[in-house]
Amino acid sequence: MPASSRAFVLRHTRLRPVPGLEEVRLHLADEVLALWRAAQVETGDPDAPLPYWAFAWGGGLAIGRWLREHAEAVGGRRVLDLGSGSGLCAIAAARAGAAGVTAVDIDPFAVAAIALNARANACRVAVIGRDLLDEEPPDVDVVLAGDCWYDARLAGRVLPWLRRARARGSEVLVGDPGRRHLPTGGLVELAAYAVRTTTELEDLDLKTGRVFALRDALSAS
Amino acid sequence: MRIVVLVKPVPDATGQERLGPDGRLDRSAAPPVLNGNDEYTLEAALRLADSQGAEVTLLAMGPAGSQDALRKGLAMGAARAVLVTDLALAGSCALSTMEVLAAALRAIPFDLVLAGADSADGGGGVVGAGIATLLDLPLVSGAAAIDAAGEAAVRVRRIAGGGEETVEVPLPAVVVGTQLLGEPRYPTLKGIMGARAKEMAVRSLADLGLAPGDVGGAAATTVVLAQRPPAARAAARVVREAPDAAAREIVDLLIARGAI
Repeated sequence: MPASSRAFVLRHTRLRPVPGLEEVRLHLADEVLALWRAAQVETGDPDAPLPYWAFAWGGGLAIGRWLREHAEAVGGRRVLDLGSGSGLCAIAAARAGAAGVTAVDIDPFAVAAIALNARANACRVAVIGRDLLDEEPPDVDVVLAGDCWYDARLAGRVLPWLRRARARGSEVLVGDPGRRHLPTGGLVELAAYAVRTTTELEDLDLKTGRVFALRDALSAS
Repeated sequence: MRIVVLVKPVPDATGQERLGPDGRLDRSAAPPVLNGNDEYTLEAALRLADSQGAEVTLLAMGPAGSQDALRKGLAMGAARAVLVTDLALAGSCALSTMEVLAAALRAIPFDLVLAGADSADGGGGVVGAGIATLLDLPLVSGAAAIDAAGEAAVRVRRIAGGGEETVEVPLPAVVVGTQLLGEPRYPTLKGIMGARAKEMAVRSLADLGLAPGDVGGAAATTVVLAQRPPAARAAARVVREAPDAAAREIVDLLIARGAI
């Protein structure tokens, strides 16, 4: 992890409990626009990605809550957290007793934030900082995908990849607060939670976050 | 290319649209949203922005509180928005609307003005043509596709009579679009976030050099005298059979009613 990314995350966030998952503490920011600007300046890229890693998103919060109640889903198993952001789902899986947790995110600041957040929660989380969607899904027992359906192009890449992961035998858990591009079929709802986010990110600060299991291809319809 | 897209904040059609006792639309009954037809012309403008580096400005006339509707257009990709709002504008007729928007356009540098076919509330469909007249600009209506034709013209494929024709019009010009321009894009999350930082200028009649008595409700050339809601229709029957069985059932139904 480059020292500059780590310093950037520390400079622009505050370590604090996650609403609804108070046992997890993350480096979180208050204002998305100011931080986005700072990331644009830091990277020299006016098209820098949104600082997804500095907020606990509704889909990730729902997966975190579900894993707290269903530790057996990941206990002793190998878990991959796709589009990890802050690392919230990865940390929740590690806390639930996963045998090995890998978080994936393409944003270098997210890579730094995940490492910092894992350490702040005394969890071991391996981090991959490249675009795994261009590769075959790795051999893991469970894939977590929190809040991946906010963008049509991303959703169009994520869904086939998750289906391939499912076909290879991984269980796939999807967390979502009602994004437009959530797949309409092939998901089984496992639970719904009232999740508290912020109007910095959403139209409402209280959203319904749902957790789904991706059906295998044979039963998908 | 500098494009101004005329957008109208209209009551959300999913809400309860109603007229007040003065025959005017009660705009407090439903939150304002972008007029659907204007989203198609905005999409055409954004495609020109993507391919030609055009800069897109939204221009609206509407009540205070229309900013949220314009914010969606900014989230889709427009660079800035101008909202003309003034209490005196309540009850404006189509002519007033043209005059106000034309006055606003005189203060905005542009090469191309795009207007939607008509609005979901008033439905007049004349404002784009009226503005072209007031600003003495060429007008192309019924646009199904808009492409740049060099630096100083656009080529427009338009619906004409029973077919299509392609015309080239020198800029500056006004083009009125149709839904054939292509499905409006959904704002991305990044677009939604970015829209918060974009410029939203608010102009009053005084800012435009217009007097309240010359435009708006006081100068309206038309007044709504009576209103009547559309006749209630019987509930639709939904046939939920497999396609072949459903087809048979629908044909039987139409025969029974003497429709075929």
